[in-house]
Amino acid sequence: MGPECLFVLDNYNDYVSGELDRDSSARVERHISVCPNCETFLGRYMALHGKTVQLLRIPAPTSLKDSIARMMEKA
Amino acid sequence: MEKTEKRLHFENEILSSLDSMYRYALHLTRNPEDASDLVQETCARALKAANRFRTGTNARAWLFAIMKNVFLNQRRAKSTGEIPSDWTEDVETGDQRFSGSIWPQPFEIFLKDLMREDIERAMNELSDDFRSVFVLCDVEGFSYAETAELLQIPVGTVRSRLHRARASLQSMLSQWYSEGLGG
Repeated sequence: MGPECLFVLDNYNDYVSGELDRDSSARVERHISVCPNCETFLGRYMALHGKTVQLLRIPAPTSLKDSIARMMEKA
Repeated sequence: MEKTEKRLHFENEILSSLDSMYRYALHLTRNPEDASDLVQETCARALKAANRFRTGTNARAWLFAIMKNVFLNQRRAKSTGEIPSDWTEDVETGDQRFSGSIWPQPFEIFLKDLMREDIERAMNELSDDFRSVFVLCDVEGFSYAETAELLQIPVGTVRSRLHRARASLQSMLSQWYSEGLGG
């Protein structure tokens, strides 16, 4: 594991959050384009994270939306 | 009485935030019925205070802040005054790394088999501190800074809690699947 692998490990969470600065994000992307291990690691991490978030994004019940709309009509 | 353009804009902001508000309410109450009640009470209070809302500011963050206060007040009234640890306790910092080897193989099958029930079960295993930050940052898309302001904790704490929450979720989901409990 080289220094650029360690840089990815230190920063992948902020990278996934979109909270890493542009230069550091580019550094992560440069490295994963040449390091299969880091590419696999980050790819799987993001895939599992993405599916987790997607399944948690449930909508509000229609009855609640209707109730709020009625509240607004009366206000 | 005809509504002003500002009022209509404000109401639209509320309507477009309802899914997000409901999910946060579910996180706080852990009960669909209570979550709906909390959203309704939050909307009622927001509509009453609409004149204090400034167009161009972050309406969703404002609504979430109202909801958090309503929830805390209701909880204080119902209980002995205990405040959820989300907003009072700090947590040790530290980056919890994990190895890619924790993911079950073949990874694509594991990912495909993952169900909402597994994720909800894993979310319920997280502490309130970690779950709050995960919901606000990852599910609802608030920035570290916005989440820190909402929860009244330092940005560094948001960051460390989020990273540990993600690691815990991935570890639990992987472990359960490997043990044959999650699939």
